[in-house]
Amino acid sequence: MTENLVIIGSGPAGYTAAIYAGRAQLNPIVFEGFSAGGIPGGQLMTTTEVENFPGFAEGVQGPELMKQMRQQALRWGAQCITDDVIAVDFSQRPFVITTDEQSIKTHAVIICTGATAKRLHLPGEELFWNNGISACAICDGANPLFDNAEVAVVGGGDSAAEEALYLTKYAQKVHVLVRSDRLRASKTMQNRLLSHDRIQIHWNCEPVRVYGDQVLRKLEIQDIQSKDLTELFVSGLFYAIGHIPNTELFQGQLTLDPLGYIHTEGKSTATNIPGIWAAGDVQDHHYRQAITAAGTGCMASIEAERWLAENALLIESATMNLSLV
Amino acid sequence: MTLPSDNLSMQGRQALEQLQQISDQTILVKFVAPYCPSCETLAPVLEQLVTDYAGALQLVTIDMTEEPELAIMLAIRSAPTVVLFKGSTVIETIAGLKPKKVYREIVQKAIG
Repeated sequence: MTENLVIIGSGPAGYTAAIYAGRAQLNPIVFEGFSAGGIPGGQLMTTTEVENFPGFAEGVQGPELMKQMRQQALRWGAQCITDDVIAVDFSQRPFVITTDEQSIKTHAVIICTGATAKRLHLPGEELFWNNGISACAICDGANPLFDNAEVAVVGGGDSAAEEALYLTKYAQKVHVLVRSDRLRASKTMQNRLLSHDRIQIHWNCEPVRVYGDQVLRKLEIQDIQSKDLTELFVSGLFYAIGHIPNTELFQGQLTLDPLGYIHTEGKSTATNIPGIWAAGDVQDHHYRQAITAAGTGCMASIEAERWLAENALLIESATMNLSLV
Repeated sequence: MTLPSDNLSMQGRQALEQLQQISDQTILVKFVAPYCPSCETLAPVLEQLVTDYAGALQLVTIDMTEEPELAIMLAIRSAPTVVLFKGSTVIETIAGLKPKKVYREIVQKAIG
């Protein structure tokens, strides 16, 4: 059996594509992911307040927003599978999508695999990854080992500011390590960061090595200009230094841009292979918003539906029509 | 249909200690934290294991913020962290979310 459409990924782009494809009776299969490329639901799952998604005048919690999107996709007949896609074959038609548990044939694919938080891969980092070093303050900040401890956040953008402020709930002191002499975070976040009495910003510096025994104990910090090394005793190190696109699966099969993002054609979400579209952060390093991800997810779904119809590949689901009466 | 987690997973340190007193049971302990989405993602995978190994495998969920001493003793720094016990002995620790088969493999190895 060949499916109409497989959607890979489960952030705002993936679920919006699923809602539109479901309503178009394409009966989409959504591989939501499990442990690869971040968590199911995407980056919003580790965001607290989302204040800029239209329709939520009072703001909304990231996980709640994603739960609603998922429910909406399910209501329109999307089949959501919590598995990682481990291989794709775009060299034959129908395309083949493989997980640990199954292989699925499909006429069309929408890729919404998003981007993953970057790591520095410092000497010693592997030993302390998930054991003091983390890319998710919301996941790991509440750990008793950080209670009243000193921790460090690397980065100068909005997510670094958000993580640092969140960590002050638990840690006694939060050090923010910024590579340059200014913050990229929004003015509101900058003000909150700079005025907090338990947050200390270290300018023009970066961590170069981590030390510990059973757990993380200290960082070696280098001044970018003078190259001087200093020590910083912390129990936790949190990365907020941007993202890399989750495109490893598609290398050699799809055209990627020099930064590794999927290349899309003009004002569309089409990739270089007809029948495959890309939406959300996996093809966008410029806007990177929930709303733009959702917007491109919608575009991809409409483009996929038209392409399937034009190529006479569409199999409408009769069973689904019944279930929605 | 998966059963609600309460039917398959016991909660808290006391439940763990009671199980450890009974015999050398194989026990999966899932350390979670509040607001931890990966912990929810992992839940059905561990519940499936307990169903598949009914009688031979127990599952206990512990909120590390409620049991800081135990979390510190076991050097738990990330949510979720899964610790596999045989009685009171730690057999394996998996920090962070790993591919589903990793959890099955450690259970298979322990139970045979």
